[in-house]
Amino acid sequence: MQTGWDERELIDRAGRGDSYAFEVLMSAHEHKMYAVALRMCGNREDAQDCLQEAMIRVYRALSGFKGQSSFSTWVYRITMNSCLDEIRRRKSRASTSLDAMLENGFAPSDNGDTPEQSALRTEQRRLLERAIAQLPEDMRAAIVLRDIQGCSYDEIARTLNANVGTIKSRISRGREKLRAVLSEQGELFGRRPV
Amino acid sequence: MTDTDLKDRIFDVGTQNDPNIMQHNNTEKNVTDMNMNDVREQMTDEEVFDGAFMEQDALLDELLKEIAQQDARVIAPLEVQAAWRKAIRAEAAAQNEQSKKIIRLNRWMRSAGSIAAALVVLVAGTYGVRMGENAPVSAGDTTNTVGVYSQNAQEENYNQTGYGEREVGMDVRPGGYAVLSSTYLRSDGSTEQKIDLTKPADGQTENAPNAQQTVSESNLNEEESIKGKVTSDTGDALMQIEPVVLRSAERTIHSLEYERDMQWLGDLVSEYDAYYEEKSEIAADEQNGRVSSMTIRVPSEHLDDFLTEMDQLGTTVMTREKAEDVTGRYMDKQSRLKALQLQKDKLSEMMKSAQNVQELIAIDAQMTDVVAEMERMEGDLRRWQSQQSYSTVSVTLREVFEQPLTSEASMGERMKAGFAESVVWLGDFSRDALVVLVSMLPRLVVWVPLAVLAGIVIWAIARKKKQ
Repeated sequence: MQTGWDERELIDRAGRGDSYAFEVLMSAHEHKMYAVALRMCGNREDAQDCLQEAMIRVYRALSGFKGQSSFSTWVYRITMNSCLDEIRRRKSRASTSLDAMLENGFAPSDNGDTPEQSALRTEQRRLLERAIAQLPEDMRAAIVLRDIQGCSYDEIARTLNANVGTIKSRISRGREKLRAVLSEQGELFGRRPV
Repeated sequence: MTDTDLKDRIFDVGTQNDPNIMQHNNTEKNVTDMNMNDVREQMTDEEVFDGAFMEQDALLDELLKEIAQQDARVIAPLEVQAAWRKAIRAEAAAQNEQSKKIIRLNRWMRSAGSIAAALVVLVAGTYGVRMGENAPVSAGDTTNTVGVYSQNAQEENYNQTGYGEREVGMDVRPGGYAVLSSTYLRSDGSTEQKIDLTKPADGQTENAPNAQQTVSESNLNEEESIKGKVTSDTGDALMQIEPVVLRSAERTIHSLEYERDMQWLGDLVSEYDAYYEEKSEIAADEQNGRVSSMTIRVPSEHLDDFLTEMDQLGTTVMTREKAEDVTGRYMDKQSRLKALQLQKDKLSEMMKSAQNVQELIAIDAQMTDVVAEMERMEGDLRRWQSQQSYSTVSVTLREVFEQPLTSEASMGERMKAGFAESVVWLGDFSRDALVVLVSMLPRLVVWVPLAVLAGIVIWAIARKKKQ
């Protein structure tokens, strides 16, 4: 952590109700939590609500954190659960536009392509992000955690409270759906094999 | 790369429909390195099919990686950061408030518990004292009762430790105002007698084993009622101390033959060498008969005989008897009087050897103060001696024309009498409760610090465990 504080000490202090220690502790995780929430919810308002809810859940549960998993894994699990609860509660599937996500903090990478290549890449990414946002929430959660956040299958299984086989199945089916979306856009992603 | 990561990666590759992981990796490398159109022209249809899949898988991988990189650069907007921080502070404040409420509730519960316990002790103690008088009294009971009724530590020590065992003719609480007995005329014409402290009803004490310090009414003779012996265990010298007990009695009598009863009372006063300290009479009016109010001083040694005979007059509707042991205060004043006498002697010596007028004036002023204080104390001592020698009997003789209350009394009269009786009971109970409460104060000086200390220790241990 960049604060110079020991994470364990911060966890202990925050667990005893020190809100300042909690803010210091979570400042190292808030951006990633927000990114997960934004990817899951697809809009800033819902992401903000999910982040806030997740923070409060973490704050309330911190005194019971035993350190059996890493703190970051525990935090992202709570974040993902908050997002899933929010999505289920609103019973609305997020529709994400890249423009909205750009406004909400996403910044496209600049990999040095030519303007034409860059425009094509941006359009491809926009379509893929839209495809991800349209996945069922359990698949989306697995894809986001695995392919975007880089979590292990064990961590995803613990986070989503499912066994590893189920998670692998969700990821496999999610990728299949993404591939189908890509194939439908032949002009952007090449011809679909017959 | 760990085994788990390797397995995860193998699965990831497997989900991309590549039958051979190595082949997939090689193809992926080729896709990224070569011109795709050139490759397609050199492939068979099957190879083109597989290659198209591989191309899409590679592109999907690349795009997902780009999205992951993009997400890794996400910065939560400032208003989002501010929002969750504000929510956390509000949550912390709410938790603090909740904790304070819980603490306040706990404090209130503890206070309520303490008050309830104190009330239970007070009520039980008061009831114990009031109700226990009708039961056979043992020596142990008497000791306990004395403890409850003691009103100052000095006098308690006088009885329990300072001066040792005492043997008295009647059980008088040291330093205590004590009601010996009260009799009330009930609404149905019967009487209710309350024998307080150690003057038991119906001579029960005679049957009580080891009742050395308590005597029945029949045992209450002149000498035993006043004189006592206090032995000191403070040294080899045995100090004899006469208890100073001030007794008084009160009667309210309804008389159908007022003139005759007044005459009889006058004869009694003469017979027992008593005298009227105060006497007044209210004349009769249309509705009420005459009322005489008298304060009679009766030689203490004759008090019980006097009361026995006086109770033959008319109908006694209220009796009250008191005994106040002022031995401790009496001795204290005596000691202080001796000290003042020594001081006076010393001042007299100093006055003789005064060098100038100023010294003489200063010594004289001190002497004046000392003499005044001595006279005040001597007055108190004389008053107590007088009260000890002559008990005070307050009599109210009321002329009536019929029995005050009979069983034929109307329902309203009975209700009124019952209500009045309850009020009297409440007053008696309150007074007794106050006596018990005040009596316990010296003990609380010891108990309260001990309880606080124990509480602090328990709290510290609990806090240490919690930490």
